[in-house]
Amino acid sequence: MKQARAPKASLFKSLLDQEMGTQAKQVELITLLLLVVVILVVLWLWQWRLELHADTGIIHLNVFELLLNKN
Amino acid sequence: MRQRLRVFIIYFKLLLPYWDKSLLSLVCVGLVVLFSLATPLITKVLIDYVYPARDLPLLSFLVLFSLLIFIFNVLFSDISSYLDTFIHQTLSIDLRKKFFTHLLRLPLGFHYEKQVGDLLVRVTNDIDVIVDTVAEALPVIIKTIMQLAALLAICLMIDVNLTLLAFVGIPVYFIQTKFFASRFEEIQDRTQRSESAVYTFYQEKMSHVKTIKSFNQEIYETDRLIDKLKNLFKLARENLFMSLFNSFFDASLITVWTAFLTWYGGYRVITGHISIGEVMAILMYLGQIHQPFMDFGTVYKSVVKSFVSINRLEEIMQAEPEAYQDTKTYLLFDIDGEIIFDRISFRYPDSDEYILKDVSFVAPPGEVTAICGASGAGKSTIIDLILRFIDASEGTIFIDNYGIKQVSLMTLRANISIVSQDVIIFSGTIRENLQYGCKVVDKDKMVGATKAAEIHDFILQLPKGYDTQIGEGGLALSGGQRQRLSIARALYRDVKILVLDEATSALDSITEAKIFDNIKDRLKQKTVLMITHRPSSLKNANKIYVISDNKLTESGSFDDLISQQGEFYKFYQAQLQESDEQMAEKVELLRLKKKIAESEKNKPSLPIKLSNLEKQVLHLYYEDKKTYAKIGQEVGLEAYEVARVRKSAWEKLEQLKELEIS
Ligand SMILES: Nc1ncnc2c1ncn2[C@@H]1O[C@H](COP(=O)(O)OP(=O)(O)O)[C@@H](O)[C@H]1O
Ligand SMILES: [Mg+2]
Repeated sequence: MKQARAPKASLFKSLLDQEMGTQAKQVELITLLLLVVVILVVLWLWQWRLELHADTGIIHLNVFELLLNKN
Repeated sequence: MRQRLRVFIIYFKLLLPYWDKSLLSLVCVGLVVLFSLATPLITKVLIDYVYPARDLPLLSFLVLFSLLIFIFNVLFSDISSYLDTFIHQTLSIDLRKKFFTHLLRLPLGFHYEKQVGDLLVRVTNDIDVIVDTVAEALPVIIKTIMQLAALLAICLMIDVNLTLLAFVGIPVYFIQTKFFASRFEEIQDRTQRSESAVYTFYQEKMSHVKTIKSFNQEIYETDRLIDKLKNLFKLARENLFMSLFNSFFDASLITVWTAFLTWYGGYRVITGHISIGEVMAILMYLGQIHQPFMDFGTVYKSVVKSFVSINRLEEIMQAEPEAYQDTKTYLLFDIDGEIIFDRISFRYPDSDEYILKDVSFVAPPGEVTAICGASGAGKSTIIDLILRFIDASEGTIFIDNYGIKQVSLMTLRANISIVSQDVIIFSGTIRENLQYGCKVVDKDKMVGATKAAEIHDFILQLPKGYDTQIGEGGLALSGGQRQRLSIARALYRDVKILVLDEATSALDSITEAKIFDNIKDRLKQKTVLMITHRPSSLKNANKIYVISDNKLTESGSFDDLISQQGEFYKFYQAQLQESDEQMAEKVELLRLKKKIAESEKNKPSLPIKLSNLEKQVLHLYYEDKKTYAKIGQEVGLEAYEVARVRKSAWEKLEQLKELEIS
């Protein structure tokens, strides 16, 4: 039974067969890369000015300012 | 409280080796917390600005933005789960390894006191509880604290009044959580204890099924088990009731509080203090608090429960192991194997009844020294002392002039091969059992050992020969077969000192005689200490010591002891059930033999003389009762050299005494 199933779940199996220590190291690396991506995305969003039509006229805000804005 | 702090310090120490992964996981969790703040804020902007202003581009932008956040959220929370699981498993293995090694290294005295079932629960349940706590509960606690802080900050920014009122509920919640946690802790303590008792019970009964059957006590033992289980079920029910109360309180508190805040939020909107979007956002945040709070309660309770486990583990971890790591010791390599017992007295630490009193003897290399005595006389205790399973209360044991307390424990035990009274065979193949503890595999030597122990033919006749599975789940061996296997195992180790503790008790005397004949030559290169009742095996001994009333009462060769007509004589007679006349004949025969032997060697023997140093040492030792170290200081020798001098002097004296008698 196990043998019949093995080829189907090959990706899963290869993930399981990997030595846990090295796998964790890889995950760590990926996480660090992802963190860099997040920082880049945040910086990019930071300078993206949105146009808002308020009673007093047009205001330019980035998305973070918009979300935390009172009123 | 200080106790709690101590436990948390232990937990953080456990996590220390994984600080990088823990930190990363924490960063991921922090991001997840931040991301989860976004949705209510987006809702707020949608309600307060985007819908009223009909701003389609901004709507699209915000939806894309929340998608992005959602993706990041999932990614980081998965990564943090992975890292936590990794820490969980590695920690679990580490802890088990550390605990098991420690357990095996604890002195035997410790193992006598503890019950196996109890230790089993500690190695399994308690370690699980701790690992779960450290690797799962701690992250949840930290996450909850971060989440609360973030929610508090952002809600305060939106509306101070509503937020303050909302957060007033928190201390109330904490107080009730704490109340229940201490109840749970107490129940947990009793549960673990009760579980230990059940394990111990199972363990003991399952390993003595034969005895239970032969006394027809199957039903009785089952009833006793049920009694013990009933206690456990009762505790489980107590736990359930407590949980029910607890979740009822939890739910009521949160429901009432949410209802009140909904009303007050609406009131703030109606009176124009805050916008609809803002009250929606705050209520959404409060909804978010709900879950972590519930989690926090559960986790806090499990942490408190784990205090019980950590104390149970600590209790064992703090027990002093045997002195394996002691570096200030001699290494015993390439020894002659002379064993000297120098005025040894022994009693178990918690009793004041001496099991051995003032026992002195020498087991010289190349000879078989036998110890015989009634059962319970303390024969096996002598062996435990040599292997340092226990330490003498008074006196010193020397091996090759080294006091064994000054010798590294590993090398001491490496030089001694033992066939113990109760033969333990591990489950595995015969080969594995024979090679237990030997790194180098030598097939010829192994076959030599099994042949000598008269078990080779039996093994060959098994279908799988040396690869036959024995022990639990394998072939069941008879007492005699196991004993022969055990003798073969001891011979295979081939070290200088061989200890036989009633090693042939389950063998017939013909097989026994064959084995002794087989190993006669091997024994000449070893120091053999043999414990036995059997007169037939005692004939193989060069010297016999008789132990009774905690003391060595007689010594001499087999023939000597018989002619002396003392303890040993009576013992021997009782064993063989010989009549008084038969014994008298035997003694007469021995006397004649001795006379002939003496007349044959009737040459004048060399006078035996003690040197001045020997006289001095003897005087200081026996008259002034000084220790070797003190005498050493006076005569300018090392302590072990003094021991050597004293011993040779002692032997000379004994020879002199013998001459005087004859
Ligand atoms: N772990 C122990 N704790 C306390 N007493 C013990 C322990 N083991 C053995 N004894 C006692 O020590 C005495 C000597 O035991 P032992 O040396 O095994 O006798 P034997 O001469 O039959 O080998 C016995 O009276 C026994 O009750
Ligand atoms: Mg014994």
